[in-house]
Amino acid sequence: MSRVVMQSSRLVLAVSAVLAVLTTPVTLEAAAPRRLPRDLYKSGAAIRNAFRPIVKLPSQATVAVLVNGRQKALGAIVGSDGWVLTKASQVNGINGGTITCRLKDGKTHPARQVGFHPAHDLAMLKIEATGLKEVVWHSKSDPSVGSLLATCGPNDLPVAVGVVSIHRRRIPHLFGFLGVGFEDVPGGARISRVMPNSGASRIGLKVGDVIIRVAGTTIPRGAVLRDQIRKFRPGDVLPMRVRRGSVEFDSNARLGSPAEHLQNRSIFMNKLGGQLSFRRGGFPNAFAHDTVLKPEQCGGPLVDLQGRTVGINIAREGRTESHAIPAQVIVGLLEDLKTGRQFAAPANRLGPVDPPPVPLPR
Amino acid sequence: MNRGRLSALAVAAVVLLEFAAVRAADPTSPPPPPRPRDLPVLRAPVVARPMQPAAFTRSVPRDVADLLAIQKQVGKLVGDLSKATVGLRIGNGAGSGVIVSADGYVLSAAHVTGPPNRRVTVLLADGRSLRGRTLGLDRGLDASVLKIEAKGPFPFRPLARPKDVRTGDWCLALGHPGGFQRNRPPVVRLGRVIRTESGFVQTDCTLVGGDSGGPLFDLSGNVIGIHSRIGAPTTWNFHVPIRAYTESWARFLDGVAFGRPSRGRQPVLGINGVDHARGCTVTAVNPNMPAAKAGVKIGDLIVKIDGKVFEGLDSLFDHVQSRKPGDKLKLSIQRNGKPVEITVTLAGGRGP
Repeated sequence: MSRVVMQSSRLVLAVSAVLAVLTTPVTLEAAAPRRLPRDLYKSGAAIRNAFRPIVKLPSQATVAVLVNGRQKALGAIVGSDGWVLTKASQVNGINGGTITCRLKDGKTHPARQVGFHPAHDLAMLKIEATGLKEVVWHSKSDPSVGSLLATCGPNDLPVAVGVVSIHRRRIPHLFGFLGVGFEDVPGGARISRVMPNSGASRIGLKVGDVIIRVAGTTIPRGAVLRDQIRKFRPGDVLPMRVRRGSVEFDSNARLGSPAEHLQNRSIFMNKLGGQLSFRRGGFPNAFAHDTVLKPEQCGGPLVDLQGRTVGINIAREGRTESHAIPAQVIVGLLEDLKTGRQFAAPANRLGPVDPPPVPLPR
Repeated sequence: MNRGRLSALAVAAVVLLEFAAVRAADPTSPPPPPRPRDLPVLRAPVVARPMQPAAFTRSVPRDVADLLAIQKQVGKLVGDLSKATVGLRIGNGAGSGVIVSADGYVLSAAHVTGPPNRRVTVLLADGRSLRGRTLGLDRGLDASVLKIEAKGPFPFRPLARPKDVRTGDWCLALGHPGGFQRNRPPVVRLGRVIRTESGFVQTDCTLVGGDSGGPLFDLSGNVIGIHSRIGAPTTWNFHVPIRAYTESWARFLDGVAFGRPSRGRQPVLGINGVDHARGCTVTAVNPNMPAAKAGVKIGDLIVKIDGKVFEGLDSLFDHVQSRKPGDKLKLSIQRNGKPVEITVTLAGGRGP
């Protein structure tokens, strides 16, 4: 009896194996092409198409966040009555820009920013709509390293796909960058060089100006100035007192990011392959994945193969890494953000982290 | 450091994944001291790829079950692959490597490890920091081998058979982008083999400085390549093919430095671009390179090469690769809506 069962199960296996081969549309063994067609790349259209059933529901809970009509981020619907979570630095601080959200059904709604969490760089937006689909959180645990992930857009196919690269950890922040070279003089740091398109050049600092105080700290020498600037992040405003000849004046410089100016080899390589998020460091808790995203594709839901939202994409950090804030961290913040709570900025910082009014050239 | 090569980034020009001031062996460096030929392994530790489930070999995953099968396999492998992936410190430089035998042979890239008989610090994922010494290197293919000097056994992954590596294979890249960091295990990336050539394997596993020398694995967990260099698009990641190690294993173990860098022999156009429905839009023109000299400008839409339509930057890249330095290439360009014909004479540069 048992022998028969075994044989029949073996038969079933054999049949299914044959079927599997026959139903495979194109086996790679059949004719290995010289170059893989683009559609078949990891995030190619054909592969993303395999994720279609996975993102069917979460894509309805995803919006494109537009500022003055241009997509600046993606967002996740976290309340059916019009609550949208997104990446703050992509949408706020853009001088009075009009924020709108475009849903998967094509409808566009005006949005206003309600809550703000500077450390996580999250903003809660409110649109006047009801009966929306919400993301389904998976907040029990983070996805393990190697898990497949899809970044949803408000479309039938995901924006891109990838795998978890590094478990969650603290992502250190980037130093702000003023854009001056300086030398020590009695009572301050004398500017010896002003880099074009930097925060310093934009407020009109000149070679020969002496920086005597920044953010309330007296500058006795250059090293102190450097240490002070490093306490701030790209996008922060640095108040300073400057002596030019016999005149002293106050000014506020918006700090940039070193990547825009320095020709460091590591920075150079990380910029190979696309633009990075302006705010891409200083996250208390994030896991990394290898999905190639554009800065304006951050802010939306990142889902696992069950279509559950395991995190919110928060930054394109480098050539190899995008960061996501784990669902577990986010669910605990949602109610506070909806009530309009403005979380405190982390220490050492003055204002909200937002992009400079004039976009920095790449 | 090495600015000239940085600016040469262009179609058919790539950047070695150097992380710090480490350079490949100087061809004029003194010959290494002879090594005794008492090494137990004279053949690379190679294993055949076992039969794979259909989910791994289909050109397109058929359904979510296929994706789940791939995910399950990756999850099963990741721990063991991480254990075999190491960080390397050599002088001021940092890179990656992979242990391929229990007694501690490590594959890496020539531009990471440099000349034979150098001291190396090998950093394991479990926190151990061990002493090692560089063995031979192939400057042509950017391959090198080193040996951990401590006593094993060490966690390792064997090499795949070169003939088992095929276009379309799913693959995993591990390594230490940006250099080894405590409390950060090797960083995992998934991709597919885009091209297999005699001189390189190309994948869409994104790499960056510090990854150099790190392993590319197949879904059986065998090493199919070693990270070497990148180009501008995120899909231009080039790995040393595994045959570089299997074909010259004895020479590596003998501490021989051989081969010549291919620099200067590949055809180069000197532009970067993005795909366009009708060809490729130029996003960068490198000064003093052929395209710049012939008058190609940023924003130009290249619609034909030598009178033929083509698809995207990669296709343009293939076309350039099929020619030789000194060859002329006719580009049909749309500039501000007007057609422009430009003939470019290709230069020699460093290709993949």
